[in-house]
Amino acid sequence: MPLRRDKESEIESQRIEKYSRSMSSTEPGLMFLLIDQSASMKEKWGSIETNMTKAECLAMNVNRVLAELCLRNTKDVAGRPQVKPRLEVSILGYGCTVNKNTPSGKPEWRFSVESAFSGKLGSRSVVSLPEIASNYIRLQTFDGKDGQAVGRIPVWIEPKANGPTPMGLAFEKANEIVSEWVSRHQASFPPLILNFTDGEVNDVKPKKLQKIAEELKRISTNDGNVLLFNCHISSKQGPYCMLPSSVDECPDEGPARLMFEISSPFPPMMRSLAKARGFQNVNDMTRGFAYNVDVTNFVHFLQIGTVGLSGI
Amino acid sequence: MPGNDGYSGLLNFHVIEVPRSDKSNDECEDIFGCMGTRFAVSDGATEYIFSRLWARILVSSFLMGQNPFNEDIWKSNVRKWHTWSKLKDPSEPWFGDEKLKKGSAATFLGVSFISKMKWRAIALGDSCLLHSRKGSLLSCWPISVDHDFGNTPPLISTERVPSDPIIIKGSCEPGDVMILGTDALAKWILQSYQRGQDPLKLLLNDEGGSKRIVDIIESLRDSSSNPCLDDDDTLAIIIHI
Repeated sequence: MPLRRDKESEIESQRIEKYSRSMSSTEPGLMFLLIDQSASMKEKWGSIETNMTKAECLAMNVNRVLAELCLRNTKDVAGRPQVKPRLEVSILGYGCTVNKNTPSGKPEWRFSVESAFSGKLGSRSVVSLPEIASNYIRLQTFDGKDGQAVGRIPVWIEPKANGPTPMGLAFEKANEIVSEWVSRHQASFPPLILNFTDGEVNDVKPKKLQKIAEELKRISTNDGNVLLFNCHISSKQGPYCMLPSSVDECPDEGPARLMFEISSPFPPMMRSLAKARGFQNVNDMTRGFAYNVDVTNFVHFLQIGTVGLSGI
Repeated sequence: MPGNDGYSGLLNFHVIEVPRSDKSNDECEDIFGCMGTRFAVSDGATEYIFSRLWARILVSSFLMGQNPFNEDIWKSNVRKWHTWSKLKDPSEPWFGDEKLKKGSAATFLGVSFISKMKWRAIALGDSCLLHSRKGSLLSCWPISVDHDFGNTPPLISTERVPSDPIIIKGSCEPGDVMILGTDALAKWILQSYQRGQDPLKLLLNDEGGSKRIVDIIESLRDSSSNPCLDDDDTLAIIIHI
């Protein structure tokens, strides 16, 4: 029926027009990383040769991504290198702090959600790329061992691992920061939130987490709603899924199906990047979600999200 | 240098050049050139450093009659890039040193008219040659579908011997219009023709308006325009046969 076709094409054109803004110095994007820093992140992860914990591996790869984003946005201006402020970044770590000086003498654990940046940037909720480029805590030299590329990579994030997993609190804190950011950047590409965790949520029930996540995804700029991607990492072998297109592709265990439900669909430019990395089944129903993934797929997920965002 | 009229040998042409909204003209990485009956555009890749320089070297090389994809020519061009891409401050921050190691890259499209009505083109990437006749689009090459414009086109890099370019020959008629456009404007022109519009009327200000081309481009970048022009460096050479 013609009417139906008109309606469909109208919906289609509206859908295509979203997530289309380029990032620029005047209309920057926001990349928001949520990093699980609970105690289980101390477990070994990845190949035996590197002997790294999940916390160490995650911190190293986040540092690499931050360096890559700075480099991608470095331009020569009058012969001098300058990092363009096309992207702003927020990184929250969620886990626990422990207070050992209590009246009872028993250590007290307290849920903690705070900036994962070390050094000067630790007190800031959102920082721009030029500020990140200039405010690392040290330069780490890689000599080519353990399969790593040779070169100097700045360090901004240190590995941490303590207590349980307050993901609900982390989403609520993200909501505060993202709401404030979009109020100043309505013309920008909407914020992308990448959540990396290895465990089940400890601070809220699944239904409550779903409600908090839906509230977070309702925040929008003129270019679309906030994108929330979730990556569940694991050192154990078991059922896994990577960039699924339906809940049936998710393992029926742990928080897999819940995390699929709260994850946003992939926008088109990330679908093409995912296909270029070999994920040929990616389609317009694909969600930004991975469950029980190893180091290799975690790095793919991180790169597709962050490089895909910076390429917009 | 928006909206320059010119004459090159047998051909009248018009150039549209507007940087993306957060850049000055000096930072625009889309480069064009013409000499006699040779025309070229090159889009320096945003994620590399000194891309404007690399694009200019490629364009100049083609205008001098060289094939920038020839390995010896490419090596000579890479040497020029290394000679001229020196950072001024010796105590550069880490990102300057690291960025220079990645080299530079650009798309390239060169067109030469080999006789009055015959042309030959060489290309790599998503800078396109569009051929229009009597208000209709005959072809858009090497990309013919708007969905194929993406974020990762093939590039000619300073770091790797270039892959084989795509080469095409064709003919034209008096009154035809040939457009060499970088990705944003090429995609917009293609989409406009697909929607039954004649984009040249607007771009060449043929509708009796007095708007400057910069204002026209800025209005097309507004998300309410349909189709919407991507906010990217914007360049086209419009050749009137």
